[in-house]
Amino acid sequence: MKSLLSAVALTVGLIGSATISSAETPAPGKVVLRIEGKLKDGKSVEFSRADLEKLGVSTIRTTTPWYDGVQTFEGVPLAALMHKVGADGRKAQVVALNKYRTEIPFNDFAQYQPILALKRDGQYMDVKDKGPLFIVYPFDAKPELKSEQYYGRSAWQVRTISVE
Amino acid sequence: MRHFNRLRLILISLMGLLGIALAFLPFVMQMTEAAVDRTSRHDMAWNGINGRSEYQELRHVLMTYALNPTTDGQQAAELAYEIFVSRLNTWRAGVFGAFVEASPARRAIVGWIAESIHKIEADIAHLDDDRALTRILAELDRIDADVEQLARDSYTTNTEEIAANTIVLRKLQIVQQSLIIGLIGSGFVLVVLLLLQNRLLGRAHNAEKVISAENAFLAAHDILTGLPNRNSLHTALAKACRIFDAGRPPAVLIIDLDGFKPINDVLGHKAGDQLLVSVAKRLEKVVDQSSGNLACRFGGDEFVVLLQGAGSVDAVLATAHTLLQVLREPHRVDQHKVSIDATIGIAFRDQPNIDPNELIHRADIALYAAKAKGKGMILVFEPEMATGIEARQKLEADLAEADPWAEFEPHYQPLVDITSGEILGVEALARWNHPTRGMVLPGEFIPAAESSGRIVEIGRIMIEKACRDAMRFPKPIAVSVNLSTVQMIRMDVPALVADVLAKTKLPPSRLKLEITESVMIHDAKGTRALVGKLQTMGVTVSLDDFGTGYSSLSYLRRFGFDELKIDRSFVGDLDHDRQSMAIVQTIIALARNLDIKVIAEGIETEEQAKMVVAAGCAHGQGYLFGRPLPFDKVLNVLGSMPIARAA
Repeated sequence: MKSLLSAVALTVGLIGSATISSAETPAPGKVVLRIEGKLKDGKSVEFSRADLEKLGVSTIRTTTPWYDGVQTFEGVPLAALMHKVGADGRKAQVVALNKYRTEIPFNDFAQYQPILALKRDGQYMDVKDKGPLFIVYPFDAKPELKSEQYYGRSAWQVRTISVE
Repeated sequence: MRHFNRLRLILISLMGLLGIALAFLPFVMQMTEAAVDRTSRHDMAWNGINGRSEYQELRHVLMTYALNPTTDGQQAAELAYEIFVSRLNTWRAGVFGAFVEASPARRAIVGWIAESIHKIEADIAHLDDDRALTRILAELDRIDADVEQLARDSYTTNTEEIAANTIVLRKLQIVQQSLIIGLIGSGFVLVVLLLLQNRLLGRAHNAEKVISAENAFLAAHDILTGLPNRNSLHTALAKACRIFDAGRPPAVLIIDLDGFKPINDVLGHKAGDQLLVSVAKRLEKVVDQSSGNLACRFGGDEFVVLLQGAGSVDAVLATAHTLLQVLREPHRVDQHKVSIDATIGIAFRDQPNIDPNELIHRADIALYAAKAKGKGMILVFEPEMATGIEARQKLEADLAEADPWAEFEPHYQPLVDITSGEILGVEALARWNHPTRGMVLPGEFIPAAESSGRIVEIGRIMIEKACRDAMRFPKPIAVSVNLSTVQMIRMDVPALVADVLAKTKLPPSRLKLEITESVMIHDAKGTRALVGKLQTMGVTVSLDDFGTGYSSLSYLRRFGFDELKIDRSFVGDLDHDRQSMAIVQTIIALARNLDIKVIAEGIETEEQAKMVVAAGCAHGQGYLFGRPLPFDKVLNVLGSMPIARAA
């Protein structure tokens, strides 16, 4: 009984430390995104990881200025997301965990199909790795996106999207 | 031509320059692209500075927690820590990572920051522990300057890069602008060159047109006189012969100039040309060439006038007479005034089967016939003329085939003392004994012989036979032989005479050579020399047909003739023309004063004989005293003395 308990404690401790190191990586059920503003119901909507994944994910393989080499990002196309919430506006104000703000015109979603990435190279992203949500444009596929303008829109640690 | 070469040079150099620009262009474009790329590259200053503020946020959150520890505060601190770690991760990868690696100092700074952050990782999980918090804050303090440095570095580098890039872009802009200006300039130059080229082409085209027109003119006109030439005549004739109009037939007039050749020979070819130009001008004045008529130079000294059937036959004849009249007016040539005459042969296209060549041929035949009749004649073609021509051509053919020695022989006509009847000498007259034609007189065959050149051979034979026969005369009388102009031109007469005299052994004093006046026009100097040479040899030289041709009293003086023979025309008129008597008397007086013997030719009646004697001339020749006889027959006559007068 004592050995089992210490084993459990150790495991919990290990898991705990592992969990502690990614303390802020929310459990799949935890809310990671809030969308508010001009929506069809007027009410703001919240999403967990699972909620987002239910909308259907697509993949973008591209190089970026922040990583070496090609990365595979998996996430929800922002066009689909906006459609899901009935967004009735022309631009999206994106706010990140580190207070970073950027504005993306809705045109971008249709034209370039950026995704709100949940996974990088098959792994969910935690805060340390620009997670939980990272807006990724298909930089390699559309080289005109390789400019500061679009790098700026490619916000990481996204928390809130406000539709205007 | 020079212009074309210069233009070509400019175009080629232009092409070369454009080629170089073209080769240069991708390079420039690439550089511009790279520079532009750099301007929109991931902004490193932003990254560095953001990192610094996230670091400061972390410290701020930790301090707040330290003063007021709450669960929310703890979560906020953990979040802030993770955010900074995330930032640190961006410093160690991607573009910023490369920027960091590029400098050992930066590498070191980031290394220290990473080390410190890693150190406090465990403590972040135990924020409730005061010692942990203290350690964290101390560690963060330690890297404060480093974060500051890194942020500043990234900012500085960024501005430096931007400045450098701006300079590069500016330079590239200048290059591109220069290229554009160059291209536009080239375009402009090309257009200018094109216009120049166009103008040159235009000029060349015009020059071409002018040359073409000139050529066309030259092809259709005679260079010397400016009259239409043979080609034009044939064209006009072809046109005229396309339709047949019996009532108004077109007429061709061939105009031959008489006396052109002597003038050409004496005064020179330049004068001859001037004469032709003068003739042409007068023809143009008379012939109205606007109504389809044509006055053209056919060649040499022949002109052809084509009159479209606008008038009647009489009108055409009238025009022909006008032409003759106009041409007879003296021409001013090279400071001289010369006179010529002309002969015209006319043919009408009065039958539909006459084509242009036939028309000209008929006019030619008419001309030939007119010339045979004399100078200054106008004759219209008649079919009978054609037969005359044929006869003439047959004669020439026969002449060509003849055996001169066998067929040509001299007939002798006596020269007598009119009063006593004594035979003083004989004149050898050429006769042609043709096997089928029979006897042919000189009047008929001499012209043909002269034109064919056979006259030389015939002449030689005549002299030789005459000298040989003279050796067999019963009495040592003289024999006269005629020398024609052609013979004098073509033969070396003194050499021939010397040769014949040597062969026949005839004493030179018994040989007389008779020369006509026309020869002196041809070559006065040569003739004088010839006369002198012959006289030196002992031969007598007579001037024949005196008074009819280009007589000049100076000839008598200068040439030193031994005798002159009064032309038969004067003798023939003696018995009914007082003036002829006066002339004959004058000639005889003149000759006597110059110590020249005189002989009267063509005495046919007693009356004429008496009058000749009365005029003072003792010697004569003519039918009254005897007709020309062949050698054997004349021997008989020579045997009897004096000669019996024909009744």
